Amino acid sequence: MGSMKISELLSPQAIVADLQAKDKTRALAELTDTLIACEPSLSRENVIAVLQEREKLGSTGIGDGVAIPHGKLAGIPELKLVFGRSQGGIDFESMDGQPAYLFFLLIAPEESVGVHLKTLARISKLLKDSIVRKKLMDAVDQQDIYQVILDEEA
Amino acid sequence: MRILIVGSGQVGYFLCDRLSCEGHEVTLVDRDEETVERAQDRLNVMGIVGNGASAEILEQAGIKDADIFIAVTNMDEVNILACLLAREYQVKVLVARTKNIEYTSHKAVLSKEKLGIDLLINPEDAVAEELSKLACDSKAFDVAEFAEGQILFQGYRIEHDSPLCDLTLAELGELRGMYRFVVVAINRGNVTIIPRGDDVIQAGDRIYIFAPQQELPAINYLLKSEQKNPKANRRAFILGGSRIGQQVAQNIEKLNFHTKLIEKSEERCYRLAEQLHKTVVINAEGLDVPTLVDEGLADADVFIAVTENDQTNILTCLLARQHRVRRTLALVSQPELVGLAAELGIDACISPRLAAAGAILKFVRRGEIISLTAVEGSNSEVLELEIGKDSGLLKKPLKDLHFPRGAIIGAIVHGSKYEIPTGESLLEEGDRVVIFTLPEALQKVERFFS
Repeated sequence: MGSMKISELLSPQAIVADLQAKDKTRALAELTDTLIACEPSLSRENVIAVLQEREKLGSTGIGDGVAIPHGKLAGIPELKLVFGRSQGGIDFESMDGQPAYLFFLLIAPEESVGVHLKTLARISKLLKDSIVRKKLMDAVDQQDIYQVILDEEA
Repeated sequence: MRILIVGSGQVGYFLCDRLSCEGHEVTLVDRDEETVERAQDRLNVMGIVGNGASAEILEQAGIKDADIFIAVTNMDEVNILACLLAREYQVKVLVARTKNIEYTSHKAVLSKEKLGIDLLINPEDAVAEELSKLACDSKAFDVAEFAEGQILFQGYRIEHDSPLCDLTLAELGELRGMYRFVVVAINRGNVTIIPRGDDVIQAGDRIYIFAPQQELPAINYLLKSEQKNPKANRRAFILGGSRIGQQVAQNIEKLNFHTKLIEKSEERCYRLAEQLHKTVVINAEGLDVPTLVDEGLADADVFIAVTENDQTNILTCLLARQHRVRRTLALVSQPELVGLAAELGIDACISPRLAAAGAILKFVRRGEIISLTAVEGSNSEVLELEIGKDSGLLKKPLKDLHFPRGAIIGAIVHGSKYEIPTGESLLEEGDRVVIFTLPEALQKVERFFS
């Protein structure tokens, strides 16, 4: 039951190198659309609802240009991850008042929240490193972003 | 400070222990030679055998130099008289324990003002207050507020299905960007530790956290302890219609609990029914489980057992747990039984004497320490201190200040802003800090900030 690597949970198809959204609501929707494209069995409406509900308790924008929107959903077999990058930055109501550029969306099965927290911690730790953040911003495409994460976890 | 304590029962002994450990000069007076000797042998106190309400004995005990006088024998009259004597000797702070004297209601003939006593403490009132407070929260226990309610100190019991199980403290620390709280202590079995990064949270642990009030919804989401409608339709059962039971019922019916009180004496039931507004009074025995189940015990939110019998209280709490009552609280007078709570899965065992002693301790220590809470089941404490302008701690990062081992700063409050401290945090004049400390570090903490 250890914690899985981010690169094992995230497929390259679930990476959006260039988010188009300009505000928080659209960013959540765009990330969700990517998730649904990979996991068509999920309900878009439900995913957005749990994410919004969590945001109401306090923004998941943790500062340094990073946001980790997350939520729990009943009846999904395993944890799902999506990565998104916005070149222009999006106001995510972060604590430091700065826009967010790097996004990890995480949806966890309601029944196993422990793994969810371990993954959240892993992501949070990875993105604390300013060098990693810079590499992710500089990566040229989807595959390149994936490679950055893969290398960091190697 | 020089402290004179009259009465070496549980309250007196507890106070002697704590206050002497904190470096105060404590003198104990009691008529019973044996208990005085026992205290003298085990604790760093001076003992005088004799009547605490006699001027001669008090002079022997050095009342002329005493700063604080605490009378906690089991006789109200002795305590009051002793305090009146101490007042004649110009002792600055007077505390008396009273059990049967009515002094709080507006009908009361006597009051602490009339008696000139600073604190009159009734153990039953103290315990009723504590139980009512504990009744309100679900998985959390030992809730205390600091910095005018901005910072909460809470204990959580970690169940097998808790999302925090198997998480290291370092991992939790990573989540601080989104979930701003700090785990300051873990109580496992009978040991309380201040955890480090590689410590792992396990099922059965009790963890203690500091969290800003406004972060609580997110933290409850994380800990899965949110209730769908926290304020609506909560159901409480109180077993035992003594003065304590009645007070708890009065307190929690105000908090909109649907309260049922079970009392075995029919006569007492009539009186209770007259005095309680919303509480339903039921005439039954505590162990009469079918009746309790008929009254809706199963899945109730809280069960509070406050009969005169410790065993009954503990047993009925266990029965209540079997019927999936979320929270069980037992009144327990025998000190040996207080520590059983955690092992048995009861949320808290509360003793009237310890509740009273805790209240006295808090009162005696007031001053620079703004508020203080004793952590149930361990001797650890939480205190809030203000940083004075002469403090040598200003403008230096915390990591350079050699903060005592065995204690941890949980929050720093700068005016209306708060901060979960890191090694880089700086203290400023007028800041308030909330600290968790194990008993052995308390004195060091007080020295550190003095």
